[in-house]
Amino acid sequence: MPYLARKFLGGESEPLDCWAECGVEEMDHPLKKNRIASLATVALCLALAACQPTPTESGIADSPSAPEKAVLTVGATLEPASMDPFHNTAASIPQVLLYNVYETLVKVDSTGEIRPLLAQNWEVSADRTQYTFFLNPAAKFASGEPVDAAAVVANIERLQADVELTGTLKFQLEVIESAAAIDSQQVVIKLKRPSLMWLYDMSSTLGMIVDPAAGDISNESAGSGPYAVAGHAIGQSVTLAKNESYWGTPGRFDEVVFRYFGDPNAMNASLLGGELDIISNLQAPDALPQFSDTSRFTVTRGTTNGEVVLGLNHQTEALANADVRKALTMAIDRKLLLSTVWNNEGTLIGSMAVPTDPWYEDLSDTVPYDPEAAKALLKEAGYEKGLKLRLRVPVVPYATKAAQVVYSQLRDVGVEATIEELDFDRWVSEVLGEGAYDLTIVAHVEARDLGKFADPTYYLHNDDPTFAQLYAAADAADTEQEAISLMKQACRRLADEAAAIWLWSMPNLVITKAGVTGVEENATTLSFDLSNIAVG
Amino acid sequence: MAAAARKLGVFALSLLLASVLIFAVLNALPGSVAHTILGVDATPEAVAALEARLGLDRPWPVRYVEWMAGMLTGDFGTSPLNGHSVLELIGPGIPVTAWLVGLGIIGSILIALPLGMVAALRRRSWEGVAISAAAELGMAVPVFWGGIILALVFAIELRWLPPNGYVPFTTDAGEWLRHMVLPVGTLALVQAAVLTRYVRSAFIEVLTQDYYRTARALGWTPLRALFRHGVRNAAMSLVTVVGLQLSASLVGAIVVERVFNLHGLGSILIDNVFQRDIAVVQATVMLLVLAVLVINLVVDLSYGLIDPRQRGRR
Repeated sequence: MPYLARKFLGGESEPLDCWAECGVEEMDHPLKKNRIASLATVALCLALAACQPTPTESGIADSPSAPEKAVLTVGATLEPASMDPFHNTAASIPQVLLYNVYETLVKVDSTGEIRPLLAQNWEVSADRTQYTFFLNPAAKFASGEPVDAAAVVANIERLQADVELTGTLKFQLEVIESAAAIDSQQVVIKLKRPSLMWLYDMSSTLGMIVDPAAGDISNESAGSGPYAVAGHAIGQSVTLAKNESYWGTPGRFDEVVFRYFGDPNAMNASLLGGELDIISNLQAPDALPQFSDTSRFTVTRGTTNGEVVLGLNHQTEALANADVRKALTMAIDRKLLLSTVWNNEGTLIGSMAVPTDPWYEDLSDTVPYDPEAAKALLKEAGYEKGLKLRLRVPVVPYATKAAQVVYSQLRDVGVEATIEELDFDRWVSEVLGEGAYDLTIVAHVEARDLGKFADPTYYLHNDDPTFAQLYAAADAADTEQEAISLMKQACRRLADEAAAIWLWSMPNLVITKAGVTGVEENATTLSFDLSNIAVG
Repeated sequence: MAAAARKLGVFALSLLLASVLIFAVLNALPGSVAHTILGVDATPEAVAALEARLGLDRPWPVRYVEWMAGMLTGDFGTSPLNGHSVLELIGPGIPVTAWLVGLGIIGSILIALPLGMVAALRRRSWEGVAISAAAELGMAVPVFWGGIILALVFAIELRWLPPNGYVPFTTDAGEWLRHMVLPVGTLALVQAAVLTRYVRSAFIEVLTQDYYRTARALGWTPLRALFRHGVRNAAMSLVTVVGLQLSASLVGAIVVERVFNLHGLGSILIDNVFQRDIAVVQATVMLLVLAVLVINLVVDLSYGLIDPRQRGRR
């Protein structure tokens, strides 16, 4: 710690007598100089010797008796604390486990479509409250037990009986009335009311089918997917090993290692240094130029489910007024913000939907950038003398960077924001939990999450019965077309009311080493799906 | 041995005080591990229920006594995040930090001692000035920047060494060495810059002393006089500085750990502070306090070894 040490340097004594001066001459004795030089050379040689790969390393790979293991190494920034997604909401858990280790009845593909997985097909009753799934007879768990109707029913009943289930899952589970096995391959799931969202929810953590024989899954896995958890070196990596008895198309790799980096720059250095095959999602778009050499790297650009939202607390007196919220929206040049903060990577959205959602429309110009109109609106609302707001953001790169731009653009229309940066946990308890904020910035990473705006107790406190009705009607609509059209209206309602300010939708930036193919362009689910990835 | 008993008493009292302080500060932190586990959608009721199950709702004196009693019996608790025992979580970080900091300090001494002596002896000629200037520059270089540059040159451009990561010594000694060169080098260079200045001033001090002049008058060469009489005298202040640097770099190595993605004690500490995994943070800080106290004790004892005059006094 240089600064600590420097404090003690003040009393350095200065040269006083000539003895030292005279003595210096003899230091030039050639023999002694050489001795120091040769010592230095020896040290350097030792250091360099340590750097060269030992010959045995390449020897092992060439020997025919030990065939080379196919290993894929994926870099990521957030490490899962546990391997149990039912009691911990961290998105880093399904990133590794969903589809790779645990399978669901249906899965969502890269375009956002629902596809068969454990269920070969399914039927929906006319009133959309009864789903019959026909399971693939080949499906079996890594333990060898079949994934049959009884296992599916056991999973749903296990979740229903679990009092410590995460809030998100409890909320998603609530719509399910009952599950029953017709025969070994047929399951009927009854809903309390029609729901557009629930099948989609079943393609994620809620629908992960766990081997009913499994016990505690926080450190090991019991799924039916092409890989199984082989190890978790805490602070470093999670290793998946190929499930040799996988019922479907077998995994292409003997081992897949997810390596975790506290510092995104270290992750970038690892890919540049040839130690990684893939960066699962680049955390800092300004690092992109490092990977511009197309003979060595491929950059895949797509979308995620993440909306970066400038949250407006509707309980703050000024922000309860829709005109003030519109004025704030008009004050912020979102195009400029995206290019300044996120290198223009990402999509401008104007409401709580991302381009892969079936009801997505470009609403980014619903309330266009217009600082003059913003000032006029603020004046009308009685804030011509200014408005003071607390902008409390979590310390995450996109939020702290965006806060600076938001601050300066709000100041231009006479709104004075004070920026406070909170570590994420404190942000969760104070902003999200207690609603102690006026403005905040956070990415909502969950899929199809506009329903949050229908809950007046959620931290945004958006109490808009018109929206809530539209959303409920959309979720419970009789046909999918009707549902989508109602959902579009709901999104437009949010945009018209400026319920929040949508800054941009997070891009999916995957960097791969040359030769790695099959990475999904869009992150439509929380899974880092390995099924199409190949090294060739 | 009254002196030894007194030292031991001070040692134990320091540990006890530290434990109270650590416990009080960490429990005053806003936020809770229940939020981390339950995520952003947790209802206040769910958080309260989980806190109750984890025993976090009980009064703090009860939890403190329980924590202390556990530690005395070797039970550092369990992480509520993943059910691993705290020792299991911290254990792998201990060798990483120990190697990094230990080798870093040894490296910095090996660099700073000769450079500092030359800088002292030749402080009026260009070599001395150059060394002082280089040390000055080295102190100004931020650790993370130095680490990134070293990684850029030796790992990314030249591809001699891995850019980051750690392989335990027992798994593969060769790979362990390859992975340690850059982080240890970074830490050693940065600390050597600071240490060089101390060595220089300590030896300049020696050069002004009567015993040195007498030795020179007897016809000894400056180097012989320095090694015979100077090193031992300079060592007194240098041991203090090295002790301080060692203590500071136990946590200070966090920057190097981040740059080179090493899962040492510093990284464990930071990660778990953010996750509010208080059990792990408490145990890690206690371990670091213990290490610092042991270092201080060793420094204290080494005075007696270096300087016989100190022995009677303590």
